[in-house]
Amino acid sequence: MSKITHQRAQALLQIAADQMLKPAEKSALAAHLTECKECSAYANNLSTLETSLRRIFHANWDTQHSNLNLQKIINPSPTKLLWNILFGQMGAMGKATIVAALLLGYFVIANLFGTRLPILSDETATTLPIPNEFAPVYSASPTPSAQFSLTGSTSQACETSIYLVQENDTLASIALQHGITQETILEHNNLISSTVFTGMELAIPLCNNTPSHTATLTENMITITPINETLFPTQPQ
Amino acid sequence: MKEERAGLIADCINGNETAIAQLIQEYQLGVFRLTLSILNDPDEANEATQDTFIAALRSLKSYREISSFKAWLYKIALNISRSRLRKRNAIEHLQRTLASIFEAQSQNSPSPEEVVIHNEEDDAIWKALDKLGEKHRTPLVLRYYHDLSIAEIAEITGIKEGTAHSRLSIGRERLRIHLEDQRRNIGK
Repeated sequence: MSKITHQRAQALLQIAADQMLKPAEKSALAAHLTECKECSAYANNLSTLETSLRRIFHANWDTQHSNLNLQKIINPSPTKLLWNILFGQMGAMGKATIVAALLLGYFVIANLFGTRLPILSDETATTLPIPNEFAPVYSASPTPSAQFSLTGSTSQACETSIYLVQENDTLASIALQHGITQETILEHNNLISSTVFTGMELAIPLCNNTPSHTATLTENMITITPINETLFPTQPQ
Repeated sequence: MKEERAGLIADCINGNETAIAQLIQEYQLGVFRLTLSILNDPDEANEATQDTFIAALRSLKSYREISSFKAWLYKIALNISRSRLRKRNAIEHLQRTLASIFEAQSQNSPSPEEVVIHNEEDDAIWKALDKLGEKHRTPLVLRYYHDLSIAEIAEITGIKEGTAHSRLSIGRERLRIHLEDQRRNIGK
């Protein structure tokens, strides 16, 4: 019979604990244990540990009982079922990945359509199409020549006319004359200073004026009157 | 017996409520004990047991008789329990972090196991088990509480038999060393 080392004996004891020991290993181990006090002590400790583990587990858990709701198992709520299908055996990382993918998808779609999604939009009112029969009629306009658009426009897209600065003109008087602010003129002509001089050509925006001005026009000054209908029908005499 | 089981499973697939009730009745305690031994919380174990049966009934068609039904069911139970355990560990980690930030001293009431365990050595084993980590603790629980063989442990946990034995050996060895240290400290 070949002798085995302490290390091998202890490894065999571990294998024995899992009931995987082969007959030849069993006899070699038995022979070693009769001679070796150290490994015998190891075997005893291991055996005590196994007994303790069984005792502790049973003491802790045997007294507990389940309380299942059979109907909930047979007919689970749709939410529960969906949750189980999607996430039943998925870890926290999996869930986090799905949430990240959804967020990414949201922004990709938002960029693809080149617009802000409804949840973020504050322009719904101004982009709504206006039926033809409700053609807008403006009750007031800052200048006779000015054209206004309900959809608004930027300074880049706005049509302009050229104004030749006359003698005694100031930026304030030009602004007043055209019903726009001084800042709008400065902005459209890329000017820093408000000093103007005779013969200077200034671009005057025709479409709208400052953003605040547009808002005022939209909200307070525009009257929409349907064709063949008046807001205040004349009373029959 | 095997034919009876197949018949019962077929009835469950067809939605026969009596058959489902019988199947649940038969495996309820085993599944609950398994989830309880992983989660160590009766309420959470109850929920995990319920989820196990919901998941099992939903995927009963995919069950093949290559493996035992018990092993198949336990595999689902173990996956669900582990998923809950990971979630709980993440939450506990967050709570510990928050507690350390606010330097809050938690005054926990004694848990059921602390009430049960009076023996100092058993208490030491329990604490050592907690420190082992789920990877090495679960095979020990399956071996010494559920009395499963290495082959069954390997099948349920989805690892090879050699790996199952290796994890059990490591778990036992760490606990043994911990106990020896404990005894040595008491001896001093």
